Amino acid sequence: MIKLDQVSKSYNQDIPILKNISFSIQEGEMVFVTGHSGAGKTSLLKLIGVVEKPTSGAIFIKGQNITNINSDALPFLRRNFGLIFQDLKLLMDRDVFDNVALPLFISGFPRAQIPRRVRAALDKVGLLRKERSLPITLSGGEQQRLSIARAIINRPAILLADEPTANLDDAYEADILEILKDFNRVGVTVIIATHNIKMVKNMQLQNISLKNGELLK
Amino acid sequence: MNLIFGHLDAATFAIRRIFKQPVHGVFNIAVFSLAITLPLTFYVFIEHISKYSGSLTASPQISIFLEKNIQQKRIAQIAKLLEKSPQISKYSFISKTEALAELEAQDDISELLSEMESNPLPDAFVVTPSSTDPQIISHIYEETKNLPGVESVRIDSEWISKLNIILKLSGIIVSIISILLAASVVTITFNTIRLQILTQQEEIEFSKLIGATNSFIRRPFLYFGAIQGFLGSQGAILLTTIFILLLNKGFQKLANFYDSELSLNTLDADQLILVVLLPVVLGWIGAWLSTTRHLKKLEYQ
Ligand SMILES: Nc1ncnc2c1ncn2[C@@H]1O[C@H](COP(=O)(O)OP(=O)(O)O)[C@@H](O)[C@H]1O
Ligand SMILES: [Mg+2]
Repeated sequence: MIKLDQVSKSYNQDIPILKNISFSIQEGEMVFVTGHSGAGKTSLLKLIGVVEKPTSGAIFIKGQNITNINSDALPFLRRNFGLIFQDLKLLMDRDVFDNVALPLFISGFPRAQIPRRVRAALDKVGLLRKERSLPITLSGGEQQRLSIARAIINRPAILLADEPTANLDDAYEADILEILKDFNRVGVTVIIATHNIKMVKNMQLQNISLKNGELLK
Repeated sequence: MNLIFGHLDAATFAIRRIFKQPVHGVFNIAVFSLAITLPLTFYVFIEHISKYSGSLTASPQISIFLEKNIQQKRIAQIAKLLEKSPQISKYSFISKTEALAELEAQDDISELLSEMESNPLPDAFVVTPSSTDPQIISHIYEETKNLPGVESVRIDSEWISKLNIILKLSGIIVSIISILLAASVVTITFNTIRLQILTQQEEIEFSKLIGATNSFIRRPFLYFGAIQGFLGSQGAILLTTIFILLLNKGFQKLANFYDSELSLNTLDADQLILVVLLPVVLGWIGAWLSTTRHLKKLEYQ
């Protein structure tokens, strides 16, 4: 499903942020990416999610090398991913409903079915009653769940969640993890970046551990 | 079906965006209108000036000088030809005796003439063309100069070159104005769209990351540019018409003085279509350039 081969990334020609990373993830797996702050977790997720381009090495998604993808195919490749950004990237001038509906408009989803699909997603993350609220009026946990609803609205094959439980109480953390596990149960490949080792130990899943941009085995 | 919806969405989104900031939107459209109005009024002005310049100057006359010993029968034949030509509105025959008499009436040369034994002047026709169009005039010249019995043909050549210069100059000015108009419409649109993009940078960037195509992102901006061009052109038509009517009022006095009909027409159908279509197309182009420049920065690299 996902395969990295000797992938390196540096933002400004100088120091590489990720160094010679190689691993693969099977379809339907749930995987953690761990490491201290600044280890390169966010960068790694951005490389997999076709947000940033690797400086060297190759990344294969469903067997296709994405590093030399042409610009016409790029939008359609990106639609395979649900992205939960560390900084959420919610659109503050649109209400909850419109935030979640945006990916459906972008992918050309049948117009008449949009409200039903959006409400189902909001129900799943427990935000149905807030559909006309602006994101600014939501709590941290609610904003996090909103970003999850938006990430899964197009039923992506791969869900990339960057620190989805950061800044949340433990109770909320379990909540969010439970939601992500539900998606994994129906076949979605889930990759979660976190600096919270305790959480990973409890779950006993494959762990891609980074230290200063290098893969720990 | 979804494609149609996509375009409908983009168009309504663009309109809503204009009304979201009504003051800003109206101001933009007003600037737009003015940018089109000034060159447009000037264009109408120039166009009519060049059309009427002929009637402001005296109509050119063509003199057809006949051979010295031409027979009366031949003169009558030439007169018949001139009569039949649709390009000639008026002609008159001036015999050499009449011409001499006219010259003798002028004191300073009469003495000189009286010393000559025979009349040195030829018989002649003086022809007034039906139009001041240089092409028609040169056509008359070509047709008459080789007629049997015709010695030479002379046109008031100064008049011709003046008219040609005016026409050429106004052609150049109109081209310059058209280019300025096009450039200003594109520039204004480019800038309004650039500002719009800045206020929506986050949304655009996010949309691209989750798989929006460039044309999906561009579309509302293209509609915005085209709609702004359309509304701007409506304003420009209104303003130009007002300007022309005001100018005409001023010309009235001038026209009375010259005893000629000098008044600018308001925009005709061809011009209206052009004035509406062109800003729409140019607005679209300006928006396309602006969005394309921004999207370049968001490429996967
Ligand atoms: N866009 C960027 N430009 C330059 N440096 C960056 C950029 N993004 C991240 N970095 C640097 O890369 C390193 C890894 O960052 P990141 O991938 O965010 O780590 P993590 O998510 O594990 O905290 C950090 O030193 C960070 O400063
Ligand atoms: Mg990070």
